[in-house]
Amino acid sequence: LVTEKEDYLKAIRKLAIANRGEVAVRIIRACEELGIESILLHSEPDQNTRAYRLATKSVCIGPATSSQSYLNIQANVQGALAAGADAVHPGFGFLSENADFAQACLDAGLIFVGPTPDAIQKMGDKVTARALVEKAGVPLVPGYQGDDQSDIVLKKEASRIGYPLMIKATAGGGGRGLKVAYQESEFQLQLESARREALNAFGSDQVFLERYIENGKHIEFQVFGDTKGNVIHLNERECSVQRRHQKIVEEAQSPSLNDHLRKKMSECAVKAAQAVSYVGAGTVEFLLKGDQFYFLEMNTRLQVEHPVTEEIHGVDLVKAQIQVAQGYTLPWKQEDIVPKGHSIECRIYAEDPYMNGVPSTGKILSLLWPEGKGRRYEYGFDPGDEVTSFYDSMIAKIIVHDENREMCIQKALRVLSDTVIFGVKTNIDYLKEILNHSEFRNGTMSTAFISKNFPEGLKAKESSKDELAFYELAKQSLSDSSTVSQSDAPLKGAFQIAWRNV
Amino acid sequence: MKRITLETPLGIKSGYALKDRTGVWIHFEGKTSFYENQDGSKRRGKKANASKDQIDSPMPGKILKVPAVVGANVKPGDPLVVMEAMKMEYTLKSDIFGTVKAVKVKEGDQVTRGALLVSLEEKK
Repeated sequence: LVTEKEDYLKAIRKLAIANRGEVAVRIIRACEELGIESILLHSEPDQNTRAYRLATKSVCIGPATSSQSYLNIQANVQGALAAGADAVHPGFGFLSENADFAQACLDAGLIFVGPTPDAIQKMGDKVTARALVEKAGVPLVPGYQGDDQSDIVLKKEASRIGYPLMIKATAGGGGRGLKVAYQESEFQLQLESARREALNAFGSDQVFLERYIENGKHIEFQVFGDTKGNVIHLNERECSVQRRHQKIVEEAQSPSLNDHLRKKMSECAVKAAQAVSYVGAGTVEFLLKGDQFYFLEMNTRLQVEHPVTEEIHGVDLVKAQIQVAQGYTLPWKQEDIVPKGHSIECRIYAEDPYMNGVPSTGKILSLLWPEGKGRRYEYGFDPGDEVTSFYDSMIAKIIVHDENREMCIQKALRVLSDTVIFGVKTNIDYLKEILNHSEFRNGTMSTAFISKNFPEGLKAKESSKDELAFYELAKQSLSDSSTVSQSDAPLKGAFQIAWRNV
Repeated sequence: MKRITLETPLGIKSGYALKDRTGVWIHFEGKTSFYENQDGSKRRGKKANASKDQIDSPMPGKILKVPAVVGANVKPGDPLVVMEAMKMEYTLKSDIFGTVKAVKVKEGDQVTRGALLVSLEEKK
């Protein structure tokens, strides 16, 4: 990265992380490489997580309930100050797109690793955002974004826009507070559901309406700005494989864009970012139908799926975020951004795919990540840690990189097959079905892919004869002396680890 | 976790296994499965609410809304209970034509996995 010695650079020596799980680990790794101390701001139960063990320092900021810990602005700011931090990284989710939090950090004299509160505010309010980007010449989906939130007016606007239609939380993101009404009779129920989720997740139940463009593709552009006014893009990701508007599989680049379309969309993405003088990493999301594309929203933060962009460009977005927050010029010029190969990310959710994705909680007993070239694992739990129902069920991400899309899919399938997670059920079988599906293989999948092909999750299959034989053998050879408490207790003392696989 | 090797007529196949209090986890031929203790029958696939007129909670969570009203007629797809876990909402729907016989929960209740939420009477 750039080494710049200028007086106005604000040095970060201690960075507080207002987040948890795999993204907290991701930020800690970036800090380690930059020679910065990491301070984890965590809830009470999260003492038993990987990020807690890896951080240089940690401060408990409250109980398990997010509203009293990870969503509590004052607790995070006070925790950061108490530990002597000079900056805060919000990760994604929680307070990452909360302008009041960014402002509270600045007011306390802390550097906020992200855009200005003004940019977060404008893009976070989906109504303002739509008006701003429309002015910048970016195409929009038809919708209603008025202040009148009465049931009657919303229902009338819904009929005007036409069904199917999306009800979205004005302050929303990440699939929360977002519902689809396929016909008028569903509208009221979905509206109430969207308002409830929005109120719980974002503290506001204001919604806006958008026509639901069916069989569209979700294409998003990674953008990056610095304090000198430079804004560039790092090409697109396709995230069409979504369930209940939560992404499951993401890839870079999209199999659906040609150079002409890519150029047009990337220009719009940069324009959208420039409209709010964007600083740091951000994502401009579009819906693509044929060769028509529409602005969906801009996420003013690091994205869960940022690793696929990192893999194809050979960059480190988190380190760049921290550098830019200190006032450094962007480490790359637009012409340096040349993608190479293909990358796919699979999100591992703690859930039972054979029971339509019902969350699975419990203690992680064993983990095995098959190592090899172009395989990357981002995770927030070690064996012995508990996956609770307090937080998101995404427990890990598997990212693979290979020369082309076909090889990448093959690698992802192999890695998923060789990955072992004991203790909670996961969606790994489901991910394999997705990657094996002809629509995914052809690259023609749309955001309706999951609801069309896997409406009920997976059907349980009969165990093979060999599997049953293996189970019987396993049951016999695992005598009571080799149950969890003994064999898989965390190893104490480094010498034990050294002998393990000899 | 223990590596275990199975001899089959087609050659040697190996996998991993681990036993905990409730059952045995195995990873075999690229697939992870959990076998619950009781005589080796698998939990997977056996729905918590196997009976269509008994709506059980499929997970631990919080009840957000109860559209089901005792005595009301329901058809397949009608929402009965809306609940939340891991910050997501789930709607439990009726699989059958029938009437609501009993509602065992109200808004704000915390429920465990398998708790009875609503019972229906199927129309024949």
